[in-house]
Amino acid sequence: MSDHSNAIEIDHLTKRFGSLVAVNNVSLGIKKGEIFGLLGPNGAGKSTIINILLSLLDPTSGKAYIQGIDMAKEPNKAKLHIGLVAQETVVESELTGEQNLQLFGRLYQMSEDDIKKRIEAMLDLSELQGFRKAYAGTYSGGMQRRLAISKALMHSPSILILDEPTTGLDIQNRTKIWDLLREINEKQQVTILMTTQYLEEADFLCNRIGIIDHGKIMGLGTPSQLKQSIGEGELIEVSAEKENLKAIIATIKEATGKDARVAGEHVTVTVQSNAPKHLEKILDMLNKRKVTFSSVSIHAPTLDDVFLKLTGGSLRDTQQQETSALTKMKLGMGK
Amino acid sequence: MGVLRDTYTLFIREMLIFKKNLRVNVIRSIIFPIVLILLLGNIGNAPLGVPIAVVNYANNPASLQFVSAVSKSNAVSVYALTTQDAAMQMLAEGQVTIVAVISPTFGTAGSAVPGVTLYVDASSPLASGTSIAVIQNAAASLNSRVTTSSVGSSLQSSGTSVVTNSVYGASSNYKSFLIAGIIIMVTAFGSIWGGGLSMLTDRQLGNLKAFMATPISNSAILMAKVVSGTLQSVIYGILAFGIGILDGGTVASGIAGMPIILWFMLLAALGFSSLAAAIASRISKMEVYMVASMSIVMPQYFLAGAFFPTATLPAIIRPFGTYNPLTFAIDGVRSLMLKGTIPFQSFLVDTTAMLIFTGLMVALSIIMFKKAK
Repeated sequence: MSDHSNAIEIDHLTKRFGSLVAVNNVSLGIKKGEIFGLLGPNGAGKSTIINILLSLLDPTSGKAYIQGIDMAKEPNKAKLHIGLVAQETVVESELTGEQNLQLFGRLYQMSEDDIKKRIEAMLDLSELQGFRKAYAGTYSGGMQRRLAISKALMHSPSILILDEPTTGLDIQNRTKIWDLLREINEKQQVTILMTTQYLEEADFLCNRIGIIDHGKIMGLGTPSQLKQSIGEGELIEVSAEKENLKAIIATIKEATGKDARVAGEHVTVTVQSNAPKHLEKILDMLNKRKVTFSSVSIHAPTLDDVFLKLTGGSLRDTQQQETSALTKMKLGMGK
Repeated sequence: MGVLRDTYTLFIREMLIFKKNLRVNVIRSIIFPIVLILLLGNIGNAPLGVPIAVVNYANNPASLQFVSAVSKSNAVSVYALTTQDAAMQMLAEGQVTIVAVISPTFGTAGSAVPGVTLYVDASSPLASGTSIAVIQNAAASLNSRVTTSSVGSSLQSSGTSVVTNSVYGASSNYKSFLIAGIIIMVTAFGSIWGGGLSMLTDRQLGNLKAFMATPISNSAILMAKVVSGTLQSVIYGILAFGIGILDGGTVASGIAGMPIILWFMLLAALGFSSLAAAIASRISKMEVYMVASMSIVMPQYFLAGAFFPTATLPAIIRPFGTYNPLTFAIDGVRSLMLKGTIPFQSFLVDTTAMLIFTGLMVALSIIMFKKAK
């Protein structure tokens, strides 16, 4: 049964595009006041879920409730509770910062007096008071994101939905956005649902995380719960050329008695204790067998390891592949 | 009404963006009318400074007076030469259009020989009647006779074709005829740059999604695009009209006809803004949008008779001209600018045709926009 006291309640939601199942029977409750992160690679179904929650897409089957309101029945009433920061940096570049906020105040049916007061509060929050009369197109990337967040908060929604809020930002701007989101969540009691493909962002910011891949929720819990789910202990990772991976897996099995997982060019195994001892043994055997490898490491479980275990693929690798493909495209090297 | 208020909010937003890019928008929209009205509208007018060579074999006071009288005219620029051979050489090389040979007997009363003999290059488009008239008038004031003989391959046909062309050429009526067509076309053309283009960029930037995520009605988004696009197009049309008036176009109806001219501009703008919005609803690439809308609007210049009457179109495509919505709008405006009035029945026909077109386009844009979601 769905729990209508949740800020967002997703109930057996499915969305098909032709033969492609973008969202596959997802049920999810997002509690009031939490920061919830939907973590997954591109094409996992994150944006589709967001679009359904905004009634920009109709689900094939299933229901979505915003503060207990059925999205399919009363979309406009439900929309009043949501502020959206879309994936594209949506500010009106040809309007000033102030006009941006005013426009959205009006679209959410606020009175002109309320709009004036709220604009001041929002400019303070996003530290854009000095740039209120400047065209938003002249803002830096970080400023535009902050304006986009203020715009989404103009009508004082109880839920803020952010679709990849820090994609494309440098680390300073990213941490600034994180601080801003924390402040909004703590001081204004706004429930935050965000999607991200950055593990460290989900780890640092979110109270709970849903790992999503191929339209299905693969894992759900707090970051530490998820990390514990792959077992106590430490991880040994060996990276090598593709043709050597089989030999390495066999070696690890002999040395530790455990099955290793493979993702890309990395072989990972979890050991309960004495990781350095295990690693020494593995290295010894690899040297004797003359199996070459490029690097080894020991580390505590991260969300990437969780992701690897749950989905069988590494988020880090998919990102790297995408980035290098993108770089090649930009440099005109592709095909 | 919530929808009207949301439409107004978004309309204000569109106009703020229009205002921000005002310079670009205005320049883009007036280049076309400036080029068309100033250049096309003035083609065939009496040319200035037609080069003529004068060979004075008389060199008496009367002939000098004649030469100075001709030189004073703006219609010709005079080269003084000493021998007829040299002058005819210049004519052959196309450096001058007319050679005027003044006979030694110029100014002598009762002489059997003509005072001035003109050799005219009839194949030159500059050899208009005006420059010959200048010479004839100057000679007549001195009681001297002028004979004209044409030089050039096609003297006879050129001579007659000038007369035929003068239906549109040279007269100020063609300018007004052209302006009436151009202002409606600029209005229709401006619609492409208005709401449709803005819908396209809004979709690309994600603004459209942001609007749809707010609790406003989707029809407010469409209405704001169409209404703002219409207003912008009418502004472009008025600018084009101003250019036409500054260039010497005339409005036979005077100020009284302006509301009706504006009415036809408004209908054209509304119809084409809706069409642009409909196209933009189903297209997400800028290049495709430009090609699609240009291939609809560009042929209209000819089909709707902006440059010449639709009656002169080839028989096969004439129906496309006759039953073209813009033909009706241009017809209404042209009637006011050239004749000064529009018969009530014509007004009714033109208006009804435009209203049907506009209504269809509005309906089309609504259907296309709904599908786009």
